[in-house]
Amino acid sequence: VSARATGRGDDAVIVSPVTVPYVKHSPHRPHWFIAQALAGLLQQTGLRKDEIDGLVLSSQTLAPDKAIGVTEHLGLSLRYLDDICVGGASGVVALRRALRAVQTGDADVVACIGADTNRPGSFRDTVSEFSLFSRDAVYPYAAGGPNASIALVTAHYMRTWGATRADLGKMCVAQRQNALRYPHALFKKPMTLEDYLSARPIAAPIHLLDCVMPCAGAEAFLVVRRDHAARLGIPRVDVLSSCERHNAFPDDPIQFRSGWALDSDRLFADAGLGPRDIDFVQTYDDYPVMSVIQLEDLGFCAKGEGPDFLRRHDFTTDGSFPLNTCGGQLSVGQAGFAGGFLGIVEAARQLSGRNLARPVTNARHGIVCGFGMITYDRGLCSAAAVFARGRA
Amino acid sequence: MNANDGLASAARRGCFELQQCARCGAVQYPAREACRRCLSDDLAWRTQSPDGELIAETLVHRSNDDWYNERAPWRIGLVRLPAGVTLVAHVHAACAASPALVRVEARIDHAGRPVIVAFPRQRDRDAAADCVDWAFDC
Repeated sequence: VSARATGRGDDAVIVSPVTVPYVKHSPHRPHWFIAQALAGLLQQTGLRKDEIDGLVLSSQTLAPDKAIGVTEHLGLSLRYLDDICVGGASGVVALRRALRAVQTGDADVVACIGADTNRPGSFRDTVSEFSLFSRDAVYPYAAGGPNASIALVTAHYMRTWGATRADLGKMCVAQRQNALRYPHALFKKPMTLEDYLSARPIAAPIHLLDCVMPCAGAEAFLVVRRDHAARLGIPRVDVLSSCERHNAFPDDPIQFRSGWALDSDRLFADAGLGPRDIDFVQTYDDYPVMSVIQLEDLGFCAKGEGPDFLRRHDFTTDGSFPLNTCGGQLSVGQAGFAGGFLGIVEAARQLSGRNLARPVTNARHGIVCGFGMITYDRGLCSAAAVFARGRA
Repeated sequence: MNANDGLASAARRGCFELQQCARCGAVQYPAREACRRCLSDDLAWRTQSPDGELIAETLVHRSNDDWYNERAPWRIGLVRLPAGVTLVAHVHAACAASPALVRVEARIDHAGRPVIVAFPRQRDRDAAADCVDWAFDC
């Protein structure tokens, strides 16, 4: 038995949740969004630019640059640099790298930034050359991109466990209600279940309102030591536990679970909490079925009980199970790899009194998930973290 | 040589072949450089049983390739082979709704790429006639 390290933050904590407002298309490079994110982090903390000595960056539109090019572009001199490319899992994975860097003393102030730009047509280019396997063995099959890949997962899930479109739609409608209170959401109109059900088909059973809107934007936060946060006089969020898993269950014929199913017991044990102690969940909602799979794998209900769970709960911020309290990617938009940071930033706001969306009443603990990289027929990367409101 | 060239060359001969590890026997898909089980690079293109199960399907209404948008909706699915691999496949109209037993063939598509197509296991005369209308070389 290996002496497995915990995914706890211990003395390393999250401060300063920042969003660079999303736009559908932008003429800027991602460097612009990264700069805005950094400026926001400095403004919120009172730190000087030269006090940032670590950067964990995640962006899929940086080419031809890598993260190192950004240090020169923005005049950062660092002791620690990491470039995270695990799609929608990048936020939680970036957080875990930053926590380790601060725990070990490799850096004192680590900026974690997910940022991407979006130009007309750029999403199509991303899809056609996303991976070797997708180029050879997915794209030639009607080139539906991730919509078609997750349509297959969704069709299988619905058939196997009896979920209906209305079940999934209920969750999407609740998230839109949450988004109406969040100023940075790109979708600002109310959505009814009828709107959801009558949306045009994209790749059946995926319809338009099951899909995120690709956009440009950034999400960011800092990881520092607890005493540093106290000296700065800013609220902090503690990380009670975290996990990541890559290419879990490779022998499953089709995706109906991911790494959370292996890691959730340990995730809760390390946190000293159970599912009942969690006040809100920020799933990685690239598609509604993935949210349901996350809720099952994390133990909020058993595998296959997702449809019943959807019928029993109200997912609005004031409801019985507050979910994606700023509206999630389905209502805010998906700014590339920043999508994996959205839940972290929203959770950090909820737990540090910096709310932009409606606050969850008396929230003390939240879970954030990441999920990403459909390089062939399934998403390969899963990650999660349990947060707690920092106490003085 | 591209990883998919073996699939293409078999398709041109009317055969269904996938990479198989000469050391441990594991069948591989999509094509790759080393065995997913034992890391041997001794992967040979070997004839495989074409019988599988259509485990999920979708109709693609919105494609990133206009050739398909002009022919939408287009039926694709996942076919699981007993050899332990899942294939993304074009699904012929004569196939029953998933879950269904199917037989796969390798074909060359309109753009010259090798692709997998799922047909019903029992191809009667009607289905064979229908196949003439199939978009790809039949």
